[in-house]
Amino acid sequence: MHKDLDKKKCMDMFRQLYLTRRYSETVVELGDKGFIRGPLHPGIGMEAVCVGVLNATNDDDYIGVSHRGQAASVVRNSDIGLLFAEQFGKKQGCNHGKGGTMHFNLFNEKRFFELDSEVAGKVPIFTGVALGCKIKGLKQISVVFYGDGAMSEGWVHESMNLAKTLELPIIFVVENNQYAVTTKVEYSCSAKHLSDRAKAYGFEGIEVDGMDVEKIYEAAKDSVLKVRSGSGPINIVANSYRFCGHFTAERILNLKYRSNEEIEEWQKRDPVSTWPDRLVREKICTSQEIEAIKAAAEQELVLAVEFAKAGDLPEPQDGLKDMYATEYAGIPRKGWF
Amino acid sequence: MKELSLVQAAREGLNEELKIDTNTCFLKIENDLNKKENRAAGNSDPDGQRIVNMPKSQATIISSATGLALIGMRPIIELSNTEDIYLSFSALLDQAAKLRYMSGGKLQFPITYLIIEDDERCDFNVLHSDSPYSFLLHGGMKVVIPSCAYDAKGLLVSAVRDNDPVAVFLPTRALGEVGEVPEEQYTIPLGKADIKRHGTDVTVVATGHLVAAALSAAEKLEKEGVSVEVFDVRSLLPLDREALEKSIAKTGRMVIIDDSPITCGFGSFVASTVAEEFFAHLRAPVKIVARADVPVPFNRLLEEYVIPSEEKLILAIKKII
Repeated sequence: MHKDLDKKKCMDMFRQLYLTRRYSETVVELGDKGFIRGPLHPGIGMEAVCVGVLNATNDDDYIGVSHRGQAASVVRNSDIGLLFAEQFGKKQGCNHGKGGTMHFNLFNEKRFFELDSEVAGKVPIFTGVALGCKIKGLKQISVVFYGDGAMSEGWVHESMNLAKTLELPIIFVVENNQYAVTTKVEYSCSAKHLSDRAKAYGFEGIEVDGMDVEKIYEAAKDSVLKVRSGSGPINIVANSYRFCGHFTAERILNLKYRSNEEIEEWQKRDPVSTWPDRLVREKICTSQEIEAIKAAAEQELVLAVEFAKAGDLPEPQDGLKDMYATEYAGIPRKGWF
Repeated sequence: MKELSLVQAAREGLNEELKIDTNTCFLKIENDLNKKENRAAGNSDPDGQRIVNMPKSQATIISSATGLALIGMRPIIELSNTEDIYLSFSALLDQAAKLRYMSGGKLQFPITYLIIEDDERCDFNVLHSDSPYSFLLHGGMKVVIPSCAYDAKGLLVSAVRDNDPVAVFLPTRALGEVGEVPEEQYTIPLGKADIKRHGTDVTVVATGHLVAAALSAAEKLEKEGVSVEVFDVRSLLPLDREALEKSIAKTGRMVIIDDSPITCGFGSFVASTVAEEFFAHLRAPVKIVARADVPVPFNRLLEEYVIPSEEKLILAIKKII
């Protein structure tokens, strides 16, 4: 076990993995019941990547999370009730019902936000955050997560080039879940190893088993240390898998792009079960302690959902608020008389 | 007072803000310092860190400014071709213009996009001649266009100090126009139009370099007994509807001259606003002089035919007088 991973940290990482998984499953259930509108994009199976990387950062480092990065809220200890409330479209939601699913913005409070945009859109934003850290001489670094699909977007390449050109303190984390919607990564990426992309831009790219939270933590810990010391950007490619569909609507679309055997193979390495198994096997904690963490997480989920259900709906006219920070009479205009 | 060209005045405003506010920074694309006298780029880097020369990755640079704003900076980005915004729609309209709203009003993005051509020469041909500000207005972004040196400096300073993204378009055809600029600091608030010439028969609503065309037309028409009021919009969003109503209430007639295309362009937007809200003041139909819905062709004769001009403006005024 990595020297920094003591019992408390190991157990905390399990809590984060488990709570993230159950949060995602609960969101899907609530979507099916009609409490949450719109398609949902859970990251079931990919939790170890975000948990491993974020545990290696400081709480004041800046994190750009992908649309499957539900773990960030859990690791940064934000109240998941705020997330449910946001997805319910309630006033009490973290963005007062304006952002919704895939766009949780807790940047002021917890230094992270989630942005779907054109999937890679957050990559240049967090490259800018890293530039700001450098200009201001801050000790913080920027970490940005995106998927194998997003890797094909131009501004990922531009950001990598810019980050190296200006030697910015940023870690590019690819959550490679093998499929961009239904397209296999081998089809969409010309490089044999995804980390070769970083080498092409003149910086280090490392590949890591994205199902093993310890290995991810280790890779991230080393990278954070180097990047914080001012040695420029690093790219971590975490090879992972989503057990669920691209989005919840996939269940009715009956898409055939991977076999059940393939899914089952990956599920054998599910971090939410292999990590606690290992902790018990290596006698880092007992199975009773694991069960206690699960029970506490379930209780937290129940309370969070109750909070969201009890929340208030926004006033319809709030739809015209929050557009501008410096306000002027007459804007934003209504679209009618 | 001193004499400065429009682009020099903008540069002076920019340099002053860079000196005053250490949270500002200036991102330039492929632009070495002091390369050309007329650049809007700053010529001094106050502390050696905040003026950054960037590789030509327009969308990423515009998006990175959003990141700079996230951690409390006040970035100013110079784009030397108006078409750079086409590469950057997502960064401008899906990110900078939306993120505050999406955050539930928790964040702010005080970003200034200084959009210019870096040369006074025109004849820029098909791909370097657009006036694409209507696209930004469509996304709810604040947009200003100065027509003279005094306004360029005052509006630029206000744009930098505004807590939202603001696009400042410096009109290529007016970059070299010289005017008087005060030595001391001053601002021109967003949302305030300026009557550049008072008149009683018709209001000409003009933007950017076309304000000069409107003033020249007004001069000529005065000799024919027509009194033209020249209404310099200056701030397209927020639009000074109060001043617009006041002017139209006085003259009862309006012609708009603007360099964006006629279809869904700024001119059409002003016309629809006036038709819907100020119809009672009108004594004649509204006329628009805008670009034709085609690209700007290379040949000078073809170009002059498809873009708005003083001659077309005079014809339009005569149709409703």
